Amino acid sequence: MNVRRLQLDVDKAVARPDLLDLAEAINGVPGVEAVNITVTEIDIETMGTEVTIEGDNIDVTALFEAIEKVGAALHSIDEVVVGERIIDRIPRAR
Amino acid sequence: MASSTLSLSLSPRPLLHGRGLDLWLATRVGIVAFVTSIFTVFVAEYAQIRAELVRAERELRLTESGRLAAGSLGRQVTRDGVEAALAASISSFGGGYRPLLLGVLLRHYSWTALALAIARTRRPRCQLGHRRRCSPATLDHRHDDQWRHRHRHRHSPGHHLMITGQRSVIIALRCQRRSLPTR
Repeated sequence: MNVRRLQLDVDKAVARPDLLDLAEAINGVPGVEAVNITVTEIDIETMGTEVTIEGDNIDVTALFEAIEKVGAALHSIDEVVVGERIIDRIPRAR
Repeated sequence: MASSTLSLSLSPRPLLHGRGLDLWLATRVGIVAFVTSIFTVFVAEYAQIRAELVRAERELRLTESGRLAAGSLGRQVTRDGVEAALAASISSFGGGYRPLLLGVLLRHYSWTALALAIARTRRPRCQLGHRRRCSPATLDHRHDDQWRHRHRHRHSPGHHLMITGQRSVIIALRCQRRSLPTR
């Protein structure tokens, strides 16, 4: 299965790891070509982020391991795009 | 400050017995300060950062305990503890060595070493390794800024050592006065 895009809900502690460390860990996974990390919420102890990953034949198992190893917590997979090309979500007309 | 207190505790005896200070005594005091500091600072710093990791696991609702410490964060925490301990130990060595070195260089005014050590304990300095003044026992009060400000000296190990060092100097001076012959 050729995974081309993933959108993940990843939480981490505010102090560590750093966002750059998280990005570096994800970027090092085989098949990853681009990473977008956006902070969606933040409080005293934790930071919630939305991570969008695009690539070709992304190694999903290695990706999840990399996120855990760097010290972040994967809470959910919000979007998966597989196949020959990337298609965006088209909302229903009604 | 703790290293200056060590200088105060170990140096009066040679002065009282007329032997004066030497480089070997200064080096020994510096080594003792180095060894005690590296152990205490590493344990305190590592315990504090590990407690933060445990709290982060709770906040992130991780089901597996110790997961954060098992990864790269655990290595980072150990490295931070070692760096803090090394910085504090090198500072402690200097703090214990320098006053006595001054006493060695000024042979006829060896008491300046004690005066300098007392002056240094009066003005506490934040060593590089101690980023926080709270001991692990006060972690529950971390968010209470007023409580931290009021009790910052009482929970500092340096505060107790400072009092001990001053008392030992006072006791040494009293013994010397008693031993002087009276006319």
